[in-house]
Amino acid sequence: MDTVFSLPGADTSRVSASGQHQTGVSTLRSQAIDVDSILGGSWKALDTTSFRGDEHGIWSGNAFASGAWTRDSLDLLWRWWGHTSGLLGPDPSVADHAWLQEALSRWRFALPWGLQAGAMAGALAERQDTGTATLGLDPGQPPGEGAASALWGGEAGWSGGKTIPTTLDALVMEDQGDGRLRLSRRSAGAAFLTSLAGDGSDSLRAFADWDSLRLRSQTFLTDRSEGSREIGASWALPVRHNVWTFDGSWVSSDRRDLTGRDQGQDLTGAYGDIDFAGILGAGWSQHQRLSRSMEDRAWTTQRTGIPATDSAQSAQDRLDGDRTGILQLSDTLRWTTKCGGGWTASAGLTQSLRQVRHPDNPDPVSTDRPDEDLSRRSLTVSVFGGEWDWGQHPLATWNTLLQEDVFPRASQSIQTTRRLENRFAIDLDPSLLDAARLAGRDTSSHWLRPLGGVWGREQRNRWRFDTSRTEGLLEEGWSAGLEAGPESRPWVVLRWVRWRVWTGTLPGQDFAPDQIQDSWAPELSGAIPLMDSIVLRPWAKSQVEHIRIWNDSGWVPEVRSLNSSVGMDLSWAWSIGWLRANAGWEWNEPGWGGWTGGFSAQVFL
Amino acid sequence: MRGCLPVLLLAGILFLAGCTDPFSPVDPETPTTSSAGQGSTIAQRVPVDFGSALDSGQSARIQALLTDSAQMTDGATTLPRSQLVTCLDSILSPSRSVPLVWEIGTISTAYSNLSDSTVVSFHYQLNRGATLLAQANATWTVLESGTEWRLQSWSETPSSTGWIQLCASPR
Repeated sequence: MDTVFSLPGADTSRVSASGQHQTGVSTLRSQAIDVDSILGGSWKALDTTSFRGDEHGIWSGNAFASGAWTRDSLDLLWRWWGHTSGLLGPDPSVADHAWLQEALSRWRFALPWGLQAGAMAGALAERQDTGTATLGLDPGQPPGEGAASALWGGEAGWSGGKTIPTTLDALVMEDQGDGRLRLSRRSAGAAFLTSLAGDGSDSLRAFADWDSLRLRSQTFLTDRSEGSREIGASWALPVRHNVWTFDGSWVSSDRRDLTGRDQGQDLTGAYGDIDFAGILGAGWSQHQRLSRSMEDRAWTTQRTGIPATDSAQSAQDRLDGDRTGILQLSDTLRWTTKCGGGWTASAGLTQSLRQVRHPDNPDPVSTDRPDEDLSRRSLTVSVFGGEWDWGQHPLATWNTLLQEDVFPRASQSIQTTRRLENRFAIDLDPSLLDAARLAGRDTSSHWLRPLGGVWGREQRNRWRFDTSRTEGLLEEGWSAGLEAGPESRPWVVLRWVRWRVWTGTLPGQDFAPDQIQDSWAPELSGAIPLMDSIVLRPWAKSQVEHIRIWNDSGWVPEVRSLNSSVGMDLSWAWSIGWLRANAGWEWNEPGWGGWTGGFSAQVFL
Repeated sequence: MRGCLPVLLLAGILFLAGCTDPFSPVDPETPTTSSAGQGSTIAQRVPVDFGSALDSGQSARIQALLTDSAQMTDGATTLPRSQLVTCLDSILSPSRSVPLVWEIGTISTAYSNLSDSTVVSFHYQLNRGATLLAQANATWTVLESGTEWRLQSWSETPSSTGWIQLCASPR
């Protein structure tokens, strides 16, 4: 029973700020949190700001501040939202500023049968200094300059039950109604936890939630109503070394934009999951998951009062309504052995089918939203090295994907495609490092360590009803580098990455490329410890790309592009905080060049 | 409850063994003529391909260049796709032995407020031998579907030499 008066994230007192500048756009963010004891009660305050300056030097920003004070049975809450735009622009008349404040008090008291209740009262107010470009809340109407409303309500909650722990919550908050500023909310929820076996070996959690919101505010430029209803249950049943988990839920929601700017939506969804995971023995483990979801969406555009427009839009809303069903299965089998250094192999088959239908559009034309079946089957095999391991990063991975994108209706079925794709990747970065470690080298001291990896990909796309149309893709790439210095904080890292992509057609079983993209990406970074807590990291990186086209007689250079940047990072950490800053220069050919920079800092108070 | 687990496990295995495949998509219907991959490769090719099909008398090719909801209008009269196709079939009737000649001027491209579409404008002239059948300044909205472009909307100012007049009295 603390849905309105809680301040999420306000746990310890601290101040943080960050900023970034790139491609002419600047952002500034700050956050301050104060947790204290004031006047015999507990006090929490939270303040966040976010500003953005565009490439023309025009700034806009949002801010949110809140404070909550609690003592005995009394809670006080104040919240402030602010927005400004058009700052420092060439035309000051465009600038606008707006704020909305909410003040609430709550008196908590106990009722019979263990019920906790609260009575709330407060006020809501907003104010705008409008600019010449400020939009009115209702299209075609001038923006409002200010409004206020009184708020009142109550909430109640109960938690208890020894064998079946249960919680119940309800909240009602009302405004004056029919005003220019509105905020009202009603919600209710219930949840319980129990064991069907009665011995606590399994657990069943069930819940039901209901929520509705009505908000109208010039500050937020919104006039909307939202509602949602959800019921669900989750049951976990251990069987030997495995666990079955069954999840099911049903959701219904509605959303209406009363300004008519956005389409309203009604959504009904049913979701179910069966999960079976655990250890089989002899090094084998498994994870199986089957998911099913069904969603129905209906769209409603706000009526304009013009019969011809409303009739056409209503017809379009009906055609846009869709029913989406997703069926997904994933099976993963893993084998682990300590023989030969503890290798781990993992194989997983993932299958899914996503079906989209527009039941109110039985005769679609080619320009309507299409009915579609997207079927994907993917097999992934990964090998992890025990001693040759770097966290969860696989040493080698193979993936095969078969995807069928089917458009069932005659007016759209020409787009039906089938894709076959194979990928592999070998990441030698950790392996080469571990090879040195296995050879008895002390990699934690100052050693040179090699880095490397290779990857490849091939893809074939064919159109079912247009056999003359095919697409093929082949990609290969590698990376190599050197790392010098302590493993935890290397002095110098040099890396060179190169990859090539061929694209073309598929005559028969052959591949006839007609374009080659050739890319190089060298990168150099270092670390210079100035003091124990201050490290300077200079860096430079570049990417060069060549594209060549086949013109029936030979390969012709078509496009060359370059992206390079050079800069320096500084990090400084001390007992109660840290500071990170970076500055650099970036240039693109063809394209834009300029300086980049940023900082972030945090201090615990 | 636990007695059901082997049954569920067996059902899952059969599921995987291929007794049924709930993950395969439905079979698509055969594409309609108008969507059968005979659109133009770029927006500006639509009036050119339309003319080539007229010159060579390929009615099916012309229909393939029209979207299912194509229409033409001169502001006063609107022809839906079905009437436009009937009109074209009449003009292309085999009984008319003299072939058509479609000539167009420079094609200009403009921004369209519809997604996946482009507006192209040009002056056209349609002759049968030495006889002028129609000429006008046309504005076509062409629509992209997949990688192909088709005529969605054909508009021109009302004129005694316009296409709608030609459809009113095919010759």
